Amino acid sequence: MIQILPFTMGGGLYGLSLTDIQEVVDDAPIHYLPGAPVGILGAINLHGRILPVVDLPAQFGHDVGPRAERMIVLSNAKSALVLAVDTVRSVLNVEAALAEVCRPVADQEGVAGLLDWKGETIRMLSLEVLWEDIRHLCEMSGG
Amino acid sequence: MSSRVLIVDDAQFMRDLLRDILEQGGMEIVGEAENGRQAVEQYKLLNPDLVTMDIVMPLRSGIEALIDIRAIDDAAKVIVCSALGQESMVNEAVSAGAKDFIVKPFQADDVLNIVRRVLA
Amino acid sequence: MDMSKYKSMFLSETEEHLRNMSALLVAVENDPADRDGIDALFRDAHSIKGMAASMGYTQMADLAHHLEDFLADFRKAGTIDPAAIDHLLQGTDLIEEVLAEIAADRPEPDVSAFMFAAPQAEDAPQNEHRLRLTLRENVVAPGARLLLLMGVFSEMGQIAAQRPSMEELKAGGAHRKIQFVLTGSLSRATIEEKVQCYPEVAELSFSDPGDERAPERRKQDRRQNSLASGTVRVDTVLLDRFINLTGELLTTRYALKTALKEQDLRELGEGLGQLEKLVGNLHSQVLKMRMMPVSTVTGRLPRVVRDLCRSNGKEIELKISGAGIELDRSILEEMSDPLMHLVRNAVDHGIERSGTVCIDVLRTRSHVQLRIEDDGRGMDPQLLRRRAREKGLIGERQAEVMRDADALQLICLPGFSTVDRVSETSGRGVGMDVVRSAVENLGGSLLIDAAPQAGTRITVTLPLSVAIIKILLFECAGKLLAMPLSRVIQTQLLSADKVLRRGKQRVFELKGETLPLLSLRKILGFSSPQGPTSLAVIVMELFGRRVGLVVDHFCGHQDVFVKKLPPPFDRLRGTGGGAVLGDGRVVFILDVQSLLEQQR
Repeated sequence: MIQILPFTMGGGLYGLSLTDIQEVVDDAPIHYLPGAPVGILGAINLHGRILPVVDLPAQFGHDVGPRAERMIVLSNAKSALVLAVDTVRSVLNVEAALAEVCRPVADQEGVAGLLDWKGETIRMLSLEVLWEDIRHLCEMSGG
Repeated sequence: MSSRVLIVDDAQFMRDLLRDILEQGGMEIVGEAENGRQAVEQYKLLNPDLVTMDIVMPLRSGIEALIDIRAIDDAAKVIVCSALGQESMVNEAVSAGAKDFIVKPFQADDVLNIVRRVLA
Repeated sequence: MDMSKYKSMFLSETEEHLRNMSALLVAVENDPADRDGIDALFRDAHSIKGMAASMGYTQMADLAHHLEDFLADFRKAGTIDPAAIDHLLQGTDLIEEVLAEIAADRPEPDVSAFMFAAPQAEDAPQNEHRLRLTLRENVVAPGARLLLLMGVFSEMGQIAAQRPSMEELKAGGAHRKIQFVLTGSLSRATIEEKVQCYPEVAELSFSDPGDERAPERRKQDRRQNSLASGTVRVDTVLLDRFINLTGELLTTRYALKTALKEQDLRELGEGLGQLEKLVGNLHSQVLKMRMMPVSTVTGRLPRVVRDLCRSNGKEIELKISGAGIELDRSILEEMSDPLMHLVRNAVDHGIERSGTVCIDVLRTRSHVQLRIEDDGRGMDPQLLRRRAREKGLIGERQAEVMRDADALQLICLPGFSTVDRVSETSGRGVGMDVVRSAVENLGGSLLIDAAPQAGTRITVTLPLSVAIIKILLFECAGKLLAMPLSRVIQTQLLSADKVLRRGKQRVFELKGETLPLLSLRKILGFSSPQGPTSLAVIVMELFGRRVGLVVDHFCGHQDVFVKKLPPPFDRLRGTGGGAVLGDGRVVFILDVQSLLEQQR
């Protein structure tokens, strides 16, 4: 069984494996980060850690509309990443076999595959691409 | 295997404090007693590796209980707890076979250091 | 008390311990140095002894006691010999026999014969130690402490000529010192090691005949940290202090809990005061843990200088003093490359043929100074002025009024270089501008002293620790921002009529000097103009020039712990890191210079 957190942005339905997610944050005030490029909204105080918030809809080229203040915190060994999204749905328990047969997708960058679930299609994010994009964003801003 | 400790003190506060310190130090608190008489009874039942014993207690003092326990088990490891200004009692307890002593107010690391070296 | 109701429990538990022991004995036979195994055996014997004694089965208690004692020696030695294992196996068999008798409600058999048959430990050579022991001043009940310690020594061997005597100690009195002769098999080192776990002992001195060694006790291992590995070796003394503090925090927690339960405001207040003190202490200890000697970054310099001399045929002596002085590891990390650059500069451009480069590290109350000094050709302020003028880095008038001391600092301007050709070893990569901004980002400062043909001295002043800095808080377009106070020359409220125009540039006068005004709103890309009544101005240095930075208003000072953003966000321009304020808000330390560089 694989657990997937579905969330929406720009009208699309996306998903991340729960194993990649540290936590989901509601309503954390986003603080101003001077000189931050478009795509970074600012930073939040997460249990005393200062973490920049990535505007995920903007990363995916969606119009920046009114946003429900939901944030997904991802973490790996080196860093942590806060993704601002529109809405977060409740966790799905998906048969591992089903998750494996994710349909590959060609036209959408940053999406690792498509998962059909009860008549809806969940676009599973590719974390590698996401990290790479964000690294690029920061490098462009820096020296 | 963690060491098994019996805590004897008539004050709940001190028992809680010692329990916390010793548990943080990886020890298992197998019992608590609030007077000297209970201490001896519990010792017989539980056969702990170590006893922390308050000196001034109702129903048999800590020193009396220490003597009773040593009569049951002459290798019993008893550490007495005293307050400042009870030095003559500490002397008495050590002469009666207490393995070490701690003086209130005590610091966690002192307590653990003493307990560990007595258990060693 | 009727113990019979515990009999079945006693029987089953003793059986369990016996099973344990036989399994352990086999394991220990295969691995005689299995300390844990020996310890476990000891505990099993101890448990059996205690239970048997409580139940009044004296033969079994004596037998278990004998096994426990017998094991104690091997426990000390950390290893066990085959003869002993045989004896222990026989002993456990015997206990089983006794147990069977007890289970059958028959009297215990006599086991004393077995105990006399125990194999004897070999005789060890005897040493005679004349010892003198002193307790620490703050030890409570010192008489009782000495009594206990003498108990420990008596286990190590024979005690003689003890003063004060046991009787005198038992009688009470404030004895803090004791002397005695200890005869036994243990070496001095072993005795010292055994006494190590008694922090109550201030000093233990040996006056062994023929022993010339000075009394050495509790010498701490020098930390050998490397910056490259992300790990720090920590002095055990520091760790002990942490445990100390944790204990005190625990006690305070209890006191607070009790005070809260009893609604005792005075106690609560005291508890909170104590908590504040402890947290402050904890913080300073953590900072201490981050301290590393400057030698971690100067260590490679002799080799660098030697190699440089090889390649350019110079004869240069490098002298380093004070490298044992400690600094926060993050400061050292940031200073490593700049320091290398300064030394290379001295070798490449300072000294012509032969000379000396000195690195002196000095420590003041709150700062560490690194002085990099060479006895080379020095610098000519006049030349520097002209050069900066030619490069358009300073204006005509500015060049005229600039003092010599200020002219020397010009080499730190971006785009300024004292040699035209890019030297193979320095000048490339890190220039003086980068060195200076690295130092300033750490909250430090850099000063250049030189005269023509009289050498160059670069003084880098660094805070001991970057972790906590004082910041000035201010707002701009409704956003909260901060700047290290060390970067702020002064703050000023400027009424609108004091703002002058020089061409397109807004300027103002400060102590006879005309400074340009920069709008932070503009720099940050906020378009909305601000109300013109009066301007809040931060006077600071940008690209080596004094400027006035216009913000909306000031919001006070605070001490904060500045954290860098995690990678890859640490690459972002505009900030040197952020801090969490007391109310949970996050404020970023503004780096105006990097923003302007980006916009150029």
